[in-house]
Amino acid sequence: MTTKTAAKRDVPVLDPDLRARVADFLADYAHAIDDDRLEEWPGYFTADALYHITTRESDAAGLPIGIMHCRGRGMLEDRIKALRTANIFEPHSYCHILGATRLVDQGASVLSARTNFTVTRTMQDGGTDALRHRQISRRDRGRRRELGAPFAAGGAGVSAD
Amino acid sequence: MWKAFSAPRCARSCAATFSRPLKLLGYHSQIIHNNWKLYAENVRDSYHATLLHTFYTTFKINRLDMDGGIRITDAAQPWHHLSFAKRATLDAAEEYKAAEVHSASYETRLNGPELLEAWNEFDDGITHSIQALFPTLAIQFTLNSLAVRWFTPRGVDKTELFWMYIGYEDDDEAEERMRIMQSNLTGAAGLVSLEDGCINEFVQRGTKGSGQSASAFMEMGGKTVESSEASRATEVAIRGFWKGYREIMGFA
Ligand SMILES: [Fe+2]
Repeated sequence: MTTKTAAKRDVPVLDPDLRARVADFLADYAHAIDDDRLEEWPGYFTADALYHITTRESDAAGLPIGIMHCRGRGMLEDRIKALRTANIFEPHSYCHILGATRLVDQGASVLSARTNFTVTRTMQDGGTDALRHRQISRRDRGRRRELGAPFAAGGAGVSAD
Repeated sequence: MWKAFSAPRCARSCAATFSRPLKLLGYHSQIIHNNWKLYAENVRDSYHATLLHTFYTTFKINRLDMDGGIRITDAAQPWHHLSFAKRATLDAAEEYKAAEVHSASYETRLNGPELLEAWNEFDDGITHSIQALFPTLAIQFTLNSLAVRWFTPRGVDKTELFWMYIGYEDDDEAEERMRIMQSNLTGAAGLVSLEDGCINEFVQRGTKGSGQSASAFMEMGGKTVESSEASRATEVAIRGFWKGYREIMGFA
């Protein structure tokens, strides 16, 4: 797991320029989702990316199935295709509020970034839910892994969307 | 304990599911904004899967034009049922029609086709099955994805739905990978299941109506609860649930 590797070789990256570039990248990523430019979303990943959303408990237990698991950019593109053409859901919009990005150099061209975020989801009737996540992105020759850990009360807090 | 409870209520295929050492692959829960009984109906409604879940129909995972049926699995208390479908039976029908229409298979256009990589795990040809145990438990096999689903009321119009994903201890790496990939179909963000949360909420709002005293009534065809081995175009499973509910609540 990324977090365990990071604990062993936790060398923070102090280069402000590099950190700013990664933070901008993540902000662009979040804004693409908030602005419903979802077709751009897979482009933030490499062709062999691993995209994994899981819960805090499953991550701690090292369980392979979380909430979403995509291997390769193709599966991310399929998600958007399904969302646009197949899936039935209530229209809604998102707003991501990003925290500071912390970078860790893991050696061997591996850079790990952590950005906590809160995302609000506003439904048709104006009702808004807030979900809190921890996001870990890891750049390993351009690969990217994302770890979202919803932690609402009772272990729940992930809504179908 | 599990055996004592399930044996008389489960289909034999369900008992076989738990006859080997299991391996937990993951679990999570989600909040759905509807009364728990609407979700109980959702589990038992065999029409909506092919009407609502476009992903199932498009990728030919579960369709009413496959061989399938509803088996009431406890004759003494017909509150439990098994719903099943055989994917291969549709493929045959498709070949028959291939010359005229829909020559292109959408499946080949999945950019990440490994999502649906699967192997024939059972020799009875069943590729999709849901064993519902009254009132709030379901054991499902979709291709090779084995999941246990259960739900609990959190208010009149709020239900917590739990998903547990399971494999077997003797799964090889490829088998486990396929189960992990296929888990993307179900769960809180499942390509198929995400629609159930939404549609149940719509039904909740529609049933409640606009006024406090408003109510809705819809009568379905048929009165009895008996197996329908040749077709899933039937409401027997839903009637089975309400039969159980009415008996327990003293409404019968
Ligand atoms: Fe459904």
